[in-house]
Amino acid sequence: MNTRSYWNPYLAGVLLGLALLAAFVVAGQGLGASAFPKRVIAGACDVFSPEWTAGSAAFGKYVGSGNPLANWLVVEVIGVLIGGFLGAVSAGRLKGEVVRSSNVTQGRRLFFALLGGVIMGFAASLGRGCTSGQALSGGASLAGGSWAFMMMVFAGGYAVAWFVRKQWI
Amino acid sequence: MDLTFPWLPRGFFGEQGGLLTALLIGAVFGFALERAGFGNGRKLAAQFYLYDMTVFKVMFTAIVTAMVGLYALSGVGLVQLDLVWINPTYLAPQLLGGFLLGVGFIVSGLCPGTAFVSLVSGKLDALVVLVGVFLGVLLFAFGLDGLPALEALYTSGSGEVLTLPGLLGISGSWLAAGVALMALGAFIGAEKVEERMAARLKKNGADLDGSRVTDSRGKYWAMGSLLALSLLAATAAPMLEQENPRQLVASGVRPLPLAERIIAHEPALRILDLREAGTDLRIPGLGKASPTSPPADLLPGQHVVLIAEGDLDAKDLAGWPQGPEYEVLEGGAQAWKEQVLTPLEAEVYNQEALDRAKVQNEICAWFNGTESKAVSAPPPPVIQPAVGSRKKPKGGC
Repeated sequence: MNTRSYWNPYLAGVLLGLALLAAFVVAGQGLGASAFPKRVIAGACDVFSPEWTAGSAAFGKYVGSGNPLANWLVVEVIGVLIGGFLGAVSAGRLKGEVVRSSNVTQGRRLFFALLGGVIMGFAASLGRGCTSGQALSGGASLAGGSWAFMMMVFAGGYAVAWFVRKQWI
Repeated sequence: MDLTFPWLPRGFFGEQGGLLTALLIGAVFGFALERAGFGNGRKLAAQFYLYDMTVFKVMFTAIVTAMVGLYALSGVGLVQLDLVWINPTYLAPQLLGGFLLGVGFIVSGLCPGTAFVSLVSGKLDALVVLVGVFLGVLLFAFGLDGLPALEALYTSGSGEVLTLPGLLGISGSWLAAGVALMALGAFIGAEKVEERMAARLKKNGADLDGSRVTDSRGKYWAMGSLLALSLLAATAAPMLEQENPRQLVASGVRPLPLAERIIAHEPALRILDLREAGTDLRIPGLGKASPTSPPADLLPGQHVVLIAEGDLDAKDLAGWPQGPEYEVLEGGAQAWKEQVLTPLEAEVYNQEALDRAKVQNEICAWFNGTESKAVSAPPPPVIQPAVGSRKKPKGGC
């Protein structure tokens, strides 16, 4: 099956911006992504050890009032999974593979995927958000700290890019 | 029916309906991310090797679109911006968190949001990235409880909502227009950088992801509409504000109900005496103001009651800021003195009138300081600021 090419980035950006604007005016908050892992982990910890979770500085706030998953951002990420899946299927891009440069082995790529993921999970907790919740949403609402966050995302990426270039180019 | 945005904080839809909007808006978000190419780690990573800057273009077009929309709608009064959750500022953890997120982004090729899209595109690396993100969240939670230094870093900062328009002292719609124009310039630069870097990397034998979209017509359409959007924000919103100075909506309040609210210590109640002279109203915490120069510290969420000599016309208050809820005392200072500060003598044969007089005379005694409780006048009502220092723990991203 032929795959569709990607959209013009500016048009894709306008649609994404309209989704973000809809989130602001309907829900009164921006979009997010890392709330999902935070709340899922908090919910899982709550099942295994409710006392520890309630006393945890990171998770206590999610489990105090009802189901941590009954949350706008969590359901929004479920929507992202559905929308992303529909997009990939309709574009003929649903394909099981490991995305990498030909200069890197699959094992090495997956090791770095795990490492980068751990760093991001930590960073999104420390920074109270990730590229979606801080850089994109906070950027659009002109939050001062979010603009600082966004600049530092690019700074961190460019600072390390040279060392991991084999994975990508 | 007042349909001013945002809807969920104003109680529209209820909880179930609210979550349905999350599903729909999230689906559009996910679809747009996929169509932009963000399910592909190599395309995202290309941003950091400068040969395909789709990440920058999509992200800033989205930011500009939502920002211009949000601040233009709020400029014309369709969005109540103080009900929209805006990320509070914790500068140090945001700076370090942002830097580490950028490091994790280029090491893994994906960020948390795009990893979800990549996962449902079938990419195994995205699954591993997400496993890592979950582990990282858990790691941070352990660290926050076990390492006092991490806890100190995480909680440092004021947690205030500091927006750039507030920090720079310019209106949101003008700043939005400025950011849009800057983005436009940056896009033109990015297009040039991409061409050069792609050619250079290819010459060096690099293995490039070749999915960059170079459809120039779409590019100019999009850039043109961005320009139009920014001009819309810069001119339309302030013009609408000027041409159509929104009259203060001030409702009337009668003396006795106001007296009861003062006695009940209603929070955020603020009473201003607009008369040039006179200190005879016996209202604790009464402020002074002139109709032409409102106090500088009026905040949204306050209930401001204005007292003139007699009746006050809201038209006289053209320069007063939008935000607080205004009420004018019906009958003004004169009515206050007659109905609150003067004891009422009821005819003894009418029980209803007697009861009413009893209530009124208790109120009268409270304000005149003859009642025992009123000897120590209550402190001025505490004004709760509605913006500027909102702290609301929330999942954030």
